Amino acid sequence: MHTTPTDSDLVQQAQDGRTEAFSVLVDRYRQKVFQTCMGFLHNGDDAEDLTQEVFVKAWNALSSFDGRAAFSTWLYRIAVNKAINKTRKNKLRSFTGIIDEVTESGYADEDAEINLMRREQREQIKSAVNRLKSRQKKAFVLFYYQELSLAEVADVLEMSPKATESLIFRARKRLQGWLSR
Amino acid sequence: MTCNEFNKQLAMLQRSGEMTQEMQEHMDECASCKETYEKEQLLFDFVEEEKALKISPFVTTRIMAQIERVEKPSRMVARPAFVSLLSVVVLILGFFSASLFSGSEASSLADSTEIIATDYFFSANPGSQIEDIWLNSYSYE
Ligand SMILES: [Zn+2]
Repeated sequence: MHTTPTDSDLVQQAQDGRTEAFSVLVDRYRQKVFQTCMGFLHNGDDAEDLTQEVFVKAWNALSSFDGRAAFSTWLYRIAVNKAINKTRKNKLRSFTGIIDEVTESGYADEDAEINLMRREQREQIKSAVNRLKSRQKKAFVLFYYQELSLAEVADVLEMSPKATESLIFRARKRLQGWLSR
Repeated sequence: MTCNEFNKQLAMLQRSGEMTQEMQEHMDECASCKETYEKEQLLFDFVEEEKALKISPFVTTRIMAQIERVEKPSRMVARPAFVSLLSVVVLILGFFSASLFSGSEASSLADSTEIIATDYFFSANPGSQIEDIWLNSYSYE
């Protein structure tokens, strides 16, 4: 009989240096990690690069994984921390003008005008999410982009579920304020 | 229901689309809260759209390639060290087997073994040959 190996089976094998076991874990979690990265970077290519970095980091740190938390919890913790660092670096880069903002294309017809409005809305939403404090942002992304339960988000952030709930509430409240302006 | 209460309750709804009757009634009368609600809907549409994006399945290949690239150097160092160690063992075995064939009696085997051993440990430059093999195998990497 063929049974699907559990995460901890695979982690143990990977800790013994078996890369093929780790690749099963990558297949299992790449989309979840990618969704988290999207919540921070809002760009498919960047999120994919960051996903790659997250798994390479996880592989290199695997010997320090002691199984106290679930592998997925540990992995998402790496993901949100790496993502926060990345957004800080991006902020610095855009501040110094290395990233050029996409320039507006001419809007000759109505369609283009609607597109422009949509794009402006999206930019407003993106910058509102980006303005959240890092803990609020982590909680918001894990809860809404990744659809983790409150208890799971709490585990990743190493907080109580109650504190996590109020973190998400405050994030929502701030977003509400910024977006309704 | 006041606008403040509406906003608070809206932020407390964990998933969108769980409005109470009271909230619905307030929104029907209050344009500003209706707008707040609509902006929130845009936010959640945006989140839905972003998280619906699929990662390329080839990312696994790229990740594994990067991991194995990092892994390789340690294996490349380990192999020549093992090979040269093996060659030293073969070399020493060679000495022994040579004496085995040249010596006619069992006692002479013991004698010659002792000579080889003393030559090795008490020579002016003990182990230099072994060191050379090791150093060379590293420097060619
Ligand atoms: Zn109102």
